[in-house]
Amino acid sequence: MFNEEWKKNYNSDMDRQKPSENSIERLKGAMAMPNNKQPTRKNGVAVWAALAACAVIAVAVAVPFGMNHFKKDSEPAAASPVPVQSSKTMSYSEIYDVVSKLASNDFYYAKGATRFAAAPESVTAAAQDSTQTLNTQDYSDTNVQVAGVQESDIVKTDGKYIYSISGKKIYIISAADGRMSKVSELSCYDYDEYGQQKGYAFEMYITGNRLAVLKNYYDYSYKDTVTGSPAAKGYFMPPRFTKARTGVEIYDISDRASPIFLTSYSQSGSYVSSRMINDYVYLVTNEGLYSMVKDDPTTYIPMVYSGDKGSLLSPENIHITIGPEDGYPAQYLVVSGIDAAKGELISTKSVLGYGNSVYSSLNNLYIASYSQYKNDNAYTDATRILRFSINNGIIELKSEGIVNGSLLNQFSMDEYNDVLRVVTTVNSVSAKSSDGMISKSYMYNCLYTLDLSLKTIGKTEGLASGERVYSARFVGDTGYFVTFRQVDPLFTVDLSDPQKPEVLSELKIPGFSQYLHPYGEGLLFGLGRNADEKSGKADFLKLSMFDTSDPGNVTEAAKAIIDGVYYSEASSNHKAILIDKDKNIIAFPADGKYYIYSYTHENGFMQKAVISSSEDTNELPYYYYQSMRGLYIGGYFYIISDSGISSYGIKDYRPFSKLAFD
Amino acid sequence: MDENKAVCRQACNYSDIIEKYSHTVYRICLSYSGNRHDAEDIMQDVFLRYLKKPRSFSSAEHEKAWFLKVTVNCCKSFFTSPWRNRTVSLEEYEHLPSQPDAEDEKCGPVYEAVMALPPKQRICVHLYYYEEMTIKEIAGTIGAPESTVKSHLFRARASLEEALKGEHNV
Repeated sequence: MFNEEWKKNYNSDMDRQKPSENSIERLKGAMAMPNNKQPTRKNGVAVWAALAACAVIAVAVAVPFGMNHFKKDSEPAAASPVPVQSSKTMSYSEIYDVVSKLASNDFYYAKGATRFAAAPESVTAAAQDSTQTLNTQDYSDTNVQVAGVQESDIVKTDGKYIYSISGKKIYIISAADGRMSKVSELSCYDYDEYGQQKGYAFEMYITGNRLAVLKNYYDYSYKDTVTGSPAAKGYFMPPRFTKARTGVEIYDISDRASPIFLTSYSQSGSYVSSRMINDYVYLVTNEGLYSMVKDDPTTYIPMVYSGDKGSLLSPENIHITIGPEDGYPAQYLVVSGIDAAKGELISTKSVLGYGNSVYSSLNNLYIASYSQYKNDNAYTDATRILRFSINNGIIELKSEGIVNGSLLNQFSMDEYNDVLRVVTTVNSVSAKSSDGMISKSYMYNCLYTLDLSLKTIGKTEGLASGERVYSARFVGDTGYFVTFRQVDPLFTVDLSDPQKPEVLSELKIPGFSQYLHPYGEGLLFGLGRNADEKSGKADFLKLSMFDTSDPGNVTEAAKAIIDGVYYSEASSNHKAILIDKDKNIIAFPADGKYYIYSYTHENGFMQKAVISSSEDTNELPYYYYQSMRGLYIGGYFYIISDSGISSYGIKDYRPFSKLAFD
Repeated sequence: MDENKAVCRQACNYSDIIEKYSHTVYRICLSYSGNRHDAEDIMQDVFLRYLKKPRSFSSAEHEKAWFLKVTVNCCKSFFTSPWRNRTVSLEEYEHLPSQPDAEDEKCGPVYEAVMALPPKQRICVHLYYYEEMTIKEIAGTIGAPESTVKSHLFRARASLEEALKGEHNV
């Protein structure tokens, strides 16, 4: 046991740990000037988004230490939606009565949630094909999950210009034939009249002649907190942070040299995710409620803003389908549809609850949220899924369902022929607290198929006991997912009959893939980590190509291990990787360098180039590698970082030209 | 505007609060992140958050509790913030031992063994044994059920026992 002696040892060693003088000085400097631009401000800690994310992480990291028995009999009962009540329009004060009761639920996710309302109606959307279509344009776009559903990123191109959020500015760069020149730039930051930073751009979309910039906004109050009077000279109170909101700023870029600001919309809450389909941007945020005041609806009703002018969301757009007994925290999920071409806010809907993972097909937006419920002293994961129909900016809440387990990310969900497929990891920890210690925990993985009313129609449960999902990808009728403990099983699941999902094969190789991407017919690319077969300890970055042509016998056709490199941004952010089967490019940043590979059946993976990020690393701390993106336009490959763009010939990757950002 | 800034510089003398809490905050950050550089960076976040949202505390304990909770929150968001480009994602982070620093002073086997635990366990061990908080207080601080805290501590103790076999006489 951790005895007194150990405690003394640990504490005396810890007593000697002190922050460096330098860091204290830096801190004092930073705190004396609230307006200065510390590197920390750039990342503008989005408090509530981070907290919401933690709920997911908390599950994902709870890897058991050999204490996992898969126990079928304690299987939770809440595997399908239980109709409770239709959501009806409530007055603001009725809404207050509900949400104020939730305020005492002090967790960032729902606990004790056992029942969920069915949606008022369920409408069948038109059939669609979400498989990858052939890329006819001769430039690369942000790597997305579903063809036709755009995802925002820090770098975009339209085949003529490159748009990049780098450092403090958004640059528009003309990139004709490998030669770059800066056409115009916009600031990423907004400041209020006191010089307090109140907004910053983090990602964007391009559609035709419109640039849609996603921004976080922070509202500050300068009123004296005690008397409510404005700060008087000589009695300055630091500004009080009041509310976080997230929005879209739309620019007309018909003339790339002088972008014209058209309009901006924002909504309560911090950013969860967004998508763009045709010209319509769908924005998802979470708003946590604190210190609600019944007479002041702005404290408990989500708001939409045109510019800085806010208005309350009308009651018919607020859906409350859960009650205080479901254990939900006081949070809203807010979803808006915005026409970026016209610069109009089309619709906004809000649902009591929150979102962790967002998946969108062309017609439906699915938002999954993590919760826990208690069953015989054991806490087990469950995921609530909401389906919104989306059509030219019009958003409707259609249905709601629940599955066992938690989702890894957006790739854990996929809609195909009106069936939603979900892969989850169930982690259950039981605490028998007589001796104050936990008695057991178990973990296994499940695959569910749900119809559009989000009723479970088929399932396979209890896969890979004691392991969790590291990556998932659905390709048409087949689902692939990777779990990991010591060796990496790649599961292949036949989903052609949604009511009877069937595991076709299970490939065990050392390591695990964290991102899966179909690479043409019969091949599946995986980016992940290699692992020691005996200890299961993960080491270097690993590329795998799986031969999936025989679903009953999936094999690893080729692999490449990058010695000495542990981490790639692409492992956790699919937008950082560029995969193009036609050009035979697999490219991603890792450890401050940019790697470009090709793959052939005969030779496996071939390293085409390794390009170092710019020479000047400034005073960036070692962990702060710059984000890098790669893209091609015609015969040139471009690598964009915070410090500039360099271009390379696409055949030999020889440096061609360079442009530094200021 | 400039006038306001000037007034602020005079009025906002935060060095007392820094003196008071920087060591506590830093040590928690260290126990979560496992290295000095990240710990110092997270410490910055904590104090900037204090600055952004100053409040009156009913007691010294309340103030300390606020710092502990915000520190843990900052530690969590440090490794999950989508806007931070980091070398190691949280999932992978679980597989890596904390990185000892060459300049660090030589520490005993118990300290090293604690630092080799996964971050979630380390933070519980630190709060329990160093800050001498109760399970209930830790649960409130890290935003997890008491049973989770207990299980972290239980697993941590089991791992430490394994790691420190034969070190009983340190």
